[in-house]
Amino acid sequence: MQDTSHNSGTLDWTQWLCPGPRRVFSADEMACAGQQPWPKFVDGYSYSNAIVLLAVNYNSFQRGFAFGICAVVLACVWLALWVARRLWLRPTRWFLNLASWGAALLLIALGVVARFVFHLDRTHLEAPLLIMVAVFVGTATAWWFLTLYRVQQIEARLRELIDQEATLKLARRLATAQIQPHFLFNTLASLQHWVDTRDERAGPTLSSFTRYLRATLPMFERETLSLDEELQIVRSYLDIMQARLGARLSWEVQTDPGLSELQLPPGALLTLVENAIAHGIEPALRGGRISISVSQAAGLVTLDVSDDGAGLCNEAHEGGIGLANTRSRLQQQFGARATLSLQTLSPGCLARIEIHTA
Amino acid sequence: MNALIADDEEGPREQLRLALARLWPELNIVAASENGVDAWDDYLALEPEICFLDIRMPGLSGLEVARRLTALERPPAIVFVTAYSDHALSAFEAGALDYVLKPVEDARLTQTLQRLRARLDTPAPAPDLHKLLQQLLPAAKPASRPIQASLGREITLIAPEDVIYFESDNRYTRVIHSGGEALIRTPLKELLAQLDAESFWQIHRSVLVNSRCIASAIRVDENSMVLTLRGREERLPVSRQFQGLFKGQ
Repeated sequence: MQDTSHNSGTLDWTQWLCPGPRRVFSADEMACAGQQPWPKFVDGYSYSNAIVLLAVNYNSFQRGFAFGICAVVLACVWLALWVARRLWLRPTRWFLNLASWGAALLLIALGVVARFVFHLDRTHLEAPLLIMVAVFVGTATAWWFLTLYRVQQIEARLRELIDQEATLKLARRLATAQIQPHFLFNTLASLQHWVDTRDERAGPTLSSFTRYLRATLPMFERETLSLDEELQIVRSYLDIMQARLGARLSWEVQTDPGLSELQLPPGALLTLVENAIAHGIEPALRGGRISISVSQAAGLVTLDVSDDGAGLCNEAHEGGIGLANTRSRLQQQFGARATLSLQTLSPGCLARIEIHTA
Repeated sequence: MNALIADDEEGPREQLRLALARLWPELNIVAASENGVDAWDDYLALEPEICFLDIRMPGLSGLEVARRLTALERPPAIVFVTAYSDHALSAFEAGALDYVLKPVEDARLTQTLQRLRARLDTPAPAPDLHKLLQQLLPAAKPASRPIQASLGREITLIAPEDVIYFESDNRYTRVIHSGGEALIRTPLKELLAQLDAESFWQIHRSVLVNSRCIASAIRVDENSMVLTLRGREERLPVSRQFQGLFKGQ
């Protein structure tokens, strides 16, 4: 895709016949990176220059031809600008060359017309022709530079967009893959204590923690996880929280064996369970219960995570990023067939993912 | 020297307790509270000189407990204990308040304890922590729900603004409101976590009064003070800890 002829060191012989950038942009690329407006002041600048030059030289034109010369010059300026504008919209070397050859032919045609139609002699023609050749070279060079500049500009913009996209993707992945630091260090604090005091909770919690880490760290590399895999992560997470919170937490999982291979965006269920813990159970003085249920009926799969804790059940409070992220990844995978909603229970909160499979 | 530890999780709480026992054996841990409201209540009952507060706790957060503590006449030294250094803590890095990270490391805790001892030996004028905490914390709690008091089969709903004062009474809390009296089961310390601290002032470990209903504060002698209420006969005692609320302007 990238034009590498500049960097590869080998000579590009086509540049002799058809100079200009090799890169051709697709309509999509132009649509997203080539929408810069044509700089209007170029028109004004060109016309005013032409008019000033014509005015200064007006008296030296032959009588009877002055008006015609002015018209031809202005028409040429208009034509040159039209070509430039085309090149701005579609900077291809084919059009650049076509336009240059066309201008050369026009120049020759003008010379022929002057010589044979108006019967001007050589001495009268020499000076104007020389000027016209100079103007032609200048114009063609301007087109050439314009095309080069334009291609570079669009390439740079495309690169910028690709970088932006990559950064965004990375940020999105990090936001999802984020293991809550509070969770990490609080778990480590409990483990530290249990190891120090040779508490028997240390062993099982450490293995749940290992399972959790092993499952969550690579999980965001993948596009989807099966429901079974996701529930395994959720169980390890709840095992850890159970050890830490003790009697303050109780939980249950009810699942439909027929759905074990259902593919979900990684972490979809885990995010809901983490929210239930963080906003429902942890802030409640007496803790609470988390119920996870997965069921299907008539082409509708329902995944429920509910708690009976103290949580305020609204999105702003649920910590934004997690839910918004889960929602957008569900949308990516299922389109309009999947929804994620929150519902206030008294007491508690119900987070529900519904997927229409039919 | 007495200290209080507050953390809602047993593991970190006990880890800190053991670390303190190792590094400062003379320090007497008088309370290990399991949430913010207990921490506040335990403080009022025992008045330890040092409080180790977890930031994330149910009921009242560590920052909210600290705000209440720093509003007192003679606030204790506060050390925050947290799993992860939130941006909120950077506000304290000036050294006014200290914090340690969980799991607590002996080396870091030793430093903190040294600073703590130095500060307790030569009490310097405390910087205005209260103001700092006020800025950090949201000003008002979200609108409180009405209080539901059941009497037989009837449940009366009492709007918080109609309450004149709450008083703990054994296992119940007495609600004295404009329409009479009621008993509820919610302990006072839990109520104060739900109510707006600006409208309901705690004047005693067991009394929470609606500030709009206070008529006057009367100093009885060196140590005691009572409140009179608008349109009511009774006088409510203000405990020494809260007498600083009434200074005159």
